[in-house]
Amino acid sequence: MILQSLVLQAQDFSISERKGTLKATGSLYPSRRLDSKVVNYYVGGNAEYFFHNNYSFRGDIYGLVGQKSPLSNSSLKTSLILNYGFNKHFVKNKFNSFVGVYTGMTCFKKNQMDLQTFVAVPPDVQYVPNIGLTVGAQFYFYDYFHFFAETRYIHHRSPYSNGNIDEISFSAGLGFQLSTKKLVGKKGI
Amino acid sequence: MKYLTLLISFCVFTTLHSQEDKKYNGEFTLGIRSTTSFFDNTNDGRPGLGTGGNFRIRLSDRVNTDWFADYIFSTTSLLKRADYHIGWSVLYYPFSVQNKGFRPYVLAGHCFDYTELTEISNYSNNAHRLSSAIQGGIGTHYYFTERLDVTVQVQYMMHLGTHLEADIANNIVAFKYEKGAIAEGHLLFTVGLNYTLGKLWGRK
Repeated sequence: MILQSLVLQAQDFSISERKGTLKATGSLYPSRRLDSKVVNYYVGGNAEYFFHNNYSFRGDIYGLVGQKSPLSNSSLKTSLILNYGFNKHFVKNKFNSFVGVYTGMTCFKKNQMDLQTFVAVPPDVQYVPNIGLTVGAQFYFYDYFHFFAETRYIHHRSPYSNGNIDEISFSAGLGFQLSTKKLVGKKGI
Repeated sequence: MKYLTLLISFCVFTTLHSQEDKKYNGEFTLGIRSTTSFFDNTNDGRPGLGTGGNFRIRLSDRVNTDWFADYIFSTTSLLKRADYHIGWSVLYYPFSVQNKGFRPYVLAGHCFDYTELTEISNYSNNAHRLSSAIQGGIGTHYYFTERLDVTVQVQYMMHLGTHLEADIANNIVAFKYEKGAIAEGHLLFTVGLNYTLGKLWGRK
């Protein structure tokens, strides 16, 4: 009902007049850790608001849904990533490329075991700041939808050692956009 | 006391100046920031990495106020350190006052600071302290548009309360508190992105 209401209120979208546009995306984010051969699989999404035709504010959240590790069971997991930042957009025809910088928090979980009984105990949870850089491109083909592909580098300090835990993720898929402002005398896409 | 007097003098000076120009007064700016902290101890020379946010309320063309909260995290092979800062600064623009190009500033301010030191291999061995601090430094905004800017600043933060320190000998970690260690502090390097939402007052 909320979506239906938003669609009814939405105006035509123009790629050159994006100020006021609200976007949302959900996708799978495979991610390779640079400190090891671990591959993380996140499911997440983002919401983005264009306060200017070429600049937007975006917030992302990703949750870990799977992990591929050379070890049978990697004890350290990046369970949740939350970040927010600004994007700069470059438009050409229906294509939009962008670069963004972000900061936020990451929740790490480390599996633990009681060394005397060998029974698993509740995991240790640590919250660590992160910074990130995203580059990507979008193709707008309809008033409400676009395709996107993006890659993201994210940097953390390890909560358990004097090292870094950096990741590169990639994602592609379908995004949804709504213009919250009426275009005067202009057509959409 | 000397530092507080200096801080109050700076605030009075900037407030008097704030009566002058009124084109940008009342501007409300919201932003994100990441702070790198260079501590004197406990991090083996590796700076801590932080995340946070801030908002600015501009009192006049030359005077701005910055209200911030930061969470800064750093680790060594034995220790982890978490710092929580919440505070405010007064920014004075001696040169350009317009929202375009570079706009350098000097700043001074006050903050509350909560620090937690924990031994990584033994969480029960930890120490924390709540203190107050003052900070001063320089920085600049660079405007991409009239409303969006990137801000880079360097400031030194001095703690006014108890000083918390880790003593490490033969991989055994002990924590100690020292009173009155005003010289204890850290160098903070901050990069932020800010967007001006509008004016709280002074709209025509």
